[in-house]
Formats: sequence, C-alpha cells, structure tokens
Amino acid sequence: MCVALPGKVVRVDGTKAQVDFSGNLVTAEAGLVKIKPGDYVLVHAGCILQVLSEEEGNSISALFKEIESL
Amino acid sequence: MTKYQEYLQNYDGEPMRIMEVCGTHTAAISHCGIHSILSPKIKLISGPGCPVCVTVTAYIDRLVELALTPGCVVVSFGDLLRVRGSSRSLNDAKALGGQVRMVYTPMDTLKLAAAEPDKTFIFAAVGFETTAPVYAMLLEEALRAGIQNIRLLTSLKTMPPVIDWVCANQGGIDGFLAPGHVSVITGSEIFRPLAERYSIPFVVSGFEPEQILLSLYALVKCRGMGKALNLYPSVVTPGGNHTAQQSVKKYFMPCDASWRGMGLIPGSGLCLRPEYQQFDSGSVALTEDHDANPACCCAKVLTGAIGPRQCPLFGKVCTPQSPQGACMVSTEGSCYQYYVNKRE
Ligand code: SF4
Repeated sequence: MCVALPGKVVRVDGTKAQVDFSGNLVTAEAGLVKIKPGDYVLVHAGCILQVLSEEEGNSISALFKEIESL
Repeated sequence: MTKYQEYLQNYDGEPMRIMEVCGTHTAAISHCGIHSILSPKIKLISGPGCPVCVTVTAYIDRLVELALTPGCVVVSFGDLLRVRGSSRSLNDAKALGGQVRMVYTPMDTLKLAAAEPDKTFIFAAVGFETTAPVYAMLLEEALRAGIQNIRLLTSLKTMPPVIDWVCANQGGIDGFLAPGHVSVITGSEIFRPLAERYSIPFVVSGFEPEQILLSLYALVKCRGMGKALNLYPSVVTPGGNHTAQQSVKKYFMPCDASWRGMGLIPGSGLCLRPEYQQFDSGSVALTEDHDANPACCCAKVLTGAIGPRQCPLFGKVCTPQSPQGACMVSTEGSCYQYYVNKRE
C-alpha cells in the first residue's frame, strides 16, 4: 500500500498536476512539493510526494567508498 | 553490480538475518527472486510493513458496521475489501446491501461526497507515514470546499515504534532494509536512534532489484554497526518532506495503536487531534484482535517469528483464492507473496 511510482509532470494547474506514467496521463495532487513541468516526481495514492533529484549518483558513490573501506 | 551480487552469493561470514520491513520490498524481493541468489548465511525475513495485514479485527468490524448503516458509505483502497473481521469483510457487507466504494486515491472521496450530500462518506484511513499526508490533504480540501459529509475511520501507524518493538521483544535481526517510501516523508535520519540503540544497521533502499542488492550489500558490510544509511537519495533526504510532516501534524497526533500479532504499542499510531474530532467515525478503542481462522499464524509471520511456509495452513487451506488471514489477502502480504512467487 506504500507503493509509489515515478512519472513526469506535463502540466501544473494550481494545486494539481498532470503526470505522465509511460503514456498514461493522471491528475495528481501537487500541494506537498514545489514542482514544474518536466520534473520527474514520485506519486503515491494520487499525491506527489517528492521530486526525483539528480544528485543520486554522486551521493551513492561517496557512500560506497565509505562502505568499501569498512 | 556483479561484484555486489557475487559478494552476497559467496558470503561466508557470521550469519545475517535481515528484515525487509516494508510490504512493497517483500513484493519486489519475492517477485525478482533476490532471496534465492543469496548465500545461505544471509536470510531475509518479512516484517510488519503491510498496513492491511497489521490491521486488527475490531477495525474491520467497525468498517463493516458502518457500511451496513443506512446513510453511510465506506470508501476504501481495494486491498482492504477482502480482509475478514470477526465474521465479515467489506465485500461481504457489500453483498448484504452495504455501501462500499473503492477508489484509487482518498481525494476521490471529495467528488463522491459533493455529489451525494445526504450521505456520509467514511474513508478507511489505513496506512503508514507515506499515506498520512494524503489524508491530511483530504481534510484540508474538505474544509476549504465546505464539504461536511466526509469522515475518517483511522488506523494509521508509524514505523519506528514497531521496529523498536520487534528489536526489543523478538530480537535476532542483524539489519533492517528500511522502508523507502515511508522515508520519503520521514527522512532517513528517523532510523538513526534505533540503529544506535540496538547497534544494528538500517539502510533506506529503493525498490529496483539493483537498489535492493546494493542495500543488502551495505547491510552485510555494516553488520554490528549502529549506522543509518540512505541509499535512496533520489527521493529520500535526511529530514524528509517537511511540508508533508507539517500537514500531518496539523490534523493528527501520536496515539497508542493495536497491531495484529503485537498488541498495543505505545505511541505507534496517529489519530485525529481533538480540534478535528468532527471528522472521526469512531476510531478510538478499536483494539480487539483475533484471527478469522484460529490456526492462522499471521501474528507470528508479521513479526518475522516464523516464515509463511511454517504456517500449517499455508498453500493447503490458505491460498489467495481462499485466504484465511490478511497476510494472504493483501498483494503486499508475506503469505501472498511467498505463495504466488513460490518463495521459500
Ligand atoms: S498462510 Fe494463511 S493462515 Fe497461515 S499465516 Fe498466512 S494468512 Fe494466516
């Protein structure tokens, strides 16, 4: 039930957004995070929980350096 | 990736029992068969992270009662409809003429309630930290739009207290695959106090097979260390989603909550604040719990005390077609996942 899926914001309408899930357009609530068209977002139960950041790669490789040295 | 996979396959150190707390992780692991490629020294155990499975009988009974009350309509996610209370499920209530609607998002309740103002629409508000902000949003919007015929029957639960319960009462866990989507809201740091108290590593993980493997690798490497690591930084930050936390705080406050198999755990739930009691549909004191089938071992499965296959009913009397307990009903339930994916 905590399933959340990533999609791409195509339009923002006040507190709602149109999110594209591989071709399926779904309306989602956008009140919990600042979003703009083009953002990749994580949607749970019809609600945008977070914007996907691009930092991921860097921060994981830094963490792994630390883990490897254990 | 192969390097991590190889490490996990050939691991020959101290035995590691790792709990995947979240039902979505259980589903992902079972589906892609990660458990089957690990060294016999690494054992994955499913935990209490399926909200439907940990819901107690009294809550389902109250929902059934509401569905059968004239003028009331119960609105729910699909997962909950087949779970039996002491005698009936919401689906049974429906067959008896009860009013039950299934929705994809709680926000759909607004439209339903606006279209039929003479009925009271009660949302079956189950879930963890991930879903609580959506209920807060529903209330916010109902108040803004002046929609007065919406209520919640809450059975909202929070993860750190139940993990604490598992560590304190059961033990024997050497690492936690921390719930990824709960962490999106709470932040990864929420697990640090538990990690330090019990000297057990917690790794916040994504749900793709590669992400899970990396997280398992990190857990094995950190065995015996009270570390809390975030390996899902694309959506999880140390502090989580502050706006969501604030909106949950506005409408809800911590309360004691009953968990199937664990009983009452202090401070492990969320209930409506006194100033929003007008939205409550009788959620207080729904603590009674018993398995629909007395031989069902859901309670032990949920805490990782036994695996689903150790239940004598598994696969014989109890299958997804004729589930005897909630763990076989929900698609995130351990028994369901072990059954459909033939997980050992
Ligand atoms: S297999 Fe069925 S009866 Fe046994 S614990 Fe799981 S849900 Fe309960």
